[in-house]
Amino acid sequence: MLIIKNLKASVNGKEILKGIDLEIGAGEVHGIMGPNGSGKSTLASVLSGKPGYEVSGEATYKGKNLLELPPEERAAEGLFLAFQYPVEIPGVSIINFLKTCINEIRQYRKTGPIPPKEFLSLIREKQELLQLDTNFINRPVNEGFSGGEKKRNEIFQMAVLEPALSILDETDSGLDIDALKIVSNGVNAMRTGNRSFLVITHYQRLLQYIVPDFIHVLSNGKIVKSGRKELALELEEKGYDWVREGRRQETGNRGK
Amino acid sequence: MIDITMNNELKNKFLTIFPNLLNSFPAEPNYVKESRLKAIDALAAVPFPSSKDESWKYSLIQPLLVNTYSLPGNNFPSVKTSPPPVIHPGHFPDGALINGYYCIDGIGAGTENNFMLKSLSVAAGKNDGMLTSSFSVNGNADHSFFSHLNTAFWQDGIYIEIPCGKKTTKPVEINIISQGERILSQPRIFINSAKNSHAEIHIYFYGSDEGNSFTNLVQNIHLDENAFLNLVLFRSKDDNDILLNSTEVQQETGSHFISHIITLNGKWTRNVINVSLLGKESRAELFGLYTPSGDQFTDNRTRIEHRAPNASSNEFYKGVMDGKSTAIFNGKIFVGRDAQKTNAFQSNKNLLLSDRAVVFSKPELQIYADDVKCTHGSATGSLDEDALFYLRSRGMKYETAKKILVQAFAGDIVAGVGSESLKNEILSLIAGKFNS
Repeated sequence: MLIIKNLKASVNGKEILKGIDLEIGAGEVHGIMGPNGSGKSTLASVLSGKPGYEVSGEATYKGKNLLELPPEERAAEGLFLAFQYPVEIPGVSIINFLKTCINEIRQYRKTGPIPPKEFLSLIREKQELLQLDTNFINRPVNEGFSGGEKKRNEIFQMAVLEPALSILDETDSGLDIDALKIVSNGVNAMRTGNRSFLVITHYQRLLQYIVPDFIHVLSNGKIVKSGRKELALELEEKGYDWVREGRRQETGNRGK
Repeated sequence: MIDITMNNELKNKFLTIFPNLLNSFPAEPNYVKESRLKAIDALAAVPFPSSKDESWKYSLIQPLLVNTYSLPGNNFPSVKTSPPPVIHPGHFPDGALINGYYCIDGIGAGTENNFMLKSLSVAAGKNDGMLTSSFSVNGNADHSFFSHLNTAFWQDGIYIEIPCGKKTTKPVEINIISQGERILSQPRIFINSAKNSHAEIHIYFYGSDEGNSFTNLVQNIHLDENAFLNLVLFRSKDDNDILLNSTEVQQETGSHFISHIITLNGKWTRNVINVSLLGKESRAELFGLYTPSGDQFTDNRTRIEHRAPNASSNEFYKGVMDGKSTAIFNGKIFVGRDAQKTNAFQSNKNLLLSDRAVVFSKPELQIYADDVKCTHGSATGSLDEDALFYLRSRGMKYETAKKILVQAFAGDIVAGVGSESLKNEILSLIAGKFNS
């Protein structure tokens, strides 16, 4: 699904990602953990095509060079980013927003506009999944939303757009335990077939609900440790200092 | 036909032709004649606008000076002309002014009896007192050269009355049109909203097919007790026509006035609106939207006078600017000594799509009462990059995302337009305009 090789990214000359290698297969869930400032959100931004980064290396998605595509084409190819800080778009209702998105994606895929009936039943189904009240979709996108509502709206959009690869950027931050359960259920409901996920989080808590196949630890712009889901528990127990040692080790290696 | 060049010479030329013109309106009642005489005196005393003049300081005057204009003949409308252009296919306006003259052909059949609409010169012949003050020199919103010029030289116009307690069932539509090469027209519109009446009036400025006309419009509006009026002044055609529009509104107790001054296109536009809140608990809401691009110029000037207690005013003006366009927003709020418990709010926001566009935004507050609440704010910025990325990350093309953000920015200004069809027309025109 996604193969990343030696991915580097810098902002204003400052290198943040220092060579990431990562492979996500179809149907796999990967967790990325790491301390603040390790480059977790930058990785999410770079993969989804946010302007403003100088990027080098490779990211191949479904056989295509992801880094060459503008963000809208990445989305149309089935990539989705659930934002850590969803943006408020006053004056645009969620329902019109989603309808425009779906139809633009369908235009890209050369399928006709979604029939209104099909769209409405899709919306209704996903609203129930995320336990959103009926009026929710008429509200302007994220305007005046609480932190939890914003995150729920991200997962709602993900559920509606049905992406092949979803990147969740600290979706758990700002969520209370009930909202966390709802959001996790939303994600888990989509874990079928070939859908893949990259779940970025600071804490191990989210990974109790969205159980990953693999976990990677990001530190200082590099993946310093990879393992099975048990790695999350180990991290929780030993803290990030444990992997920072690993980083020192690497620095030492480079110095040789 | 008399040719007029727009410069300092213009005044002398107008002063010279004035006596002839006065004689060409023999049936005019004395008070109108007197108002013309007073206006010509006032005109003689003020210079042609220049950047030395505070109210023209940032205005682009040069585009006014390049053409020579013809005054339309006074034998109109017996002159053979083609029918007025169809602005909204499928229906006729309720009233039209062509070259400043009241148009009797091609207008609505007048099936509604909830309002009266007639030629202003006919209405002026039956002086009812209210018109007298509207023709006075001080009755001009702009107190400027061009308002005096209109008062001295207006040809004809439209008089609309919404009688006591009547409510229009659909918007009254008026088209302002010029025909011919480089026509200077000076129409007047008078709107009389009687007690407890309720109306929405749309004024479409069309300009000319040739795109080189000069229209110097003056509007006088009076809202009697508890009257409601929603006025839309709409300009959308992309042309080189020049429009000066000066609107004076007077509000009595409990009346509610809403204006939507929407300038989507046009080489040069100056919209001046003055609202006098004369009666207590009166309420004014002024919405403005301007979307100049290329080298277009839009100048919006508002003045709200709070003269009575417990009145409120809200002003929202927004601009979306592209190319090397220039815009001005100048909003003055005056609160008189007796206007206690005044609530006044003013906001001007500008969205710059180009780094060559220039906007001058200036609030002016003058407050002489002590128990008032006045707030104002001004903000200018470019498209929100984070919002653009957010929309694009969901699959929207850049152009679509930009269009959606521009529409959303402008949307709350037109939200109060009562007519859904006009509202949608405005939003789709804006989307079309910035679709690149």
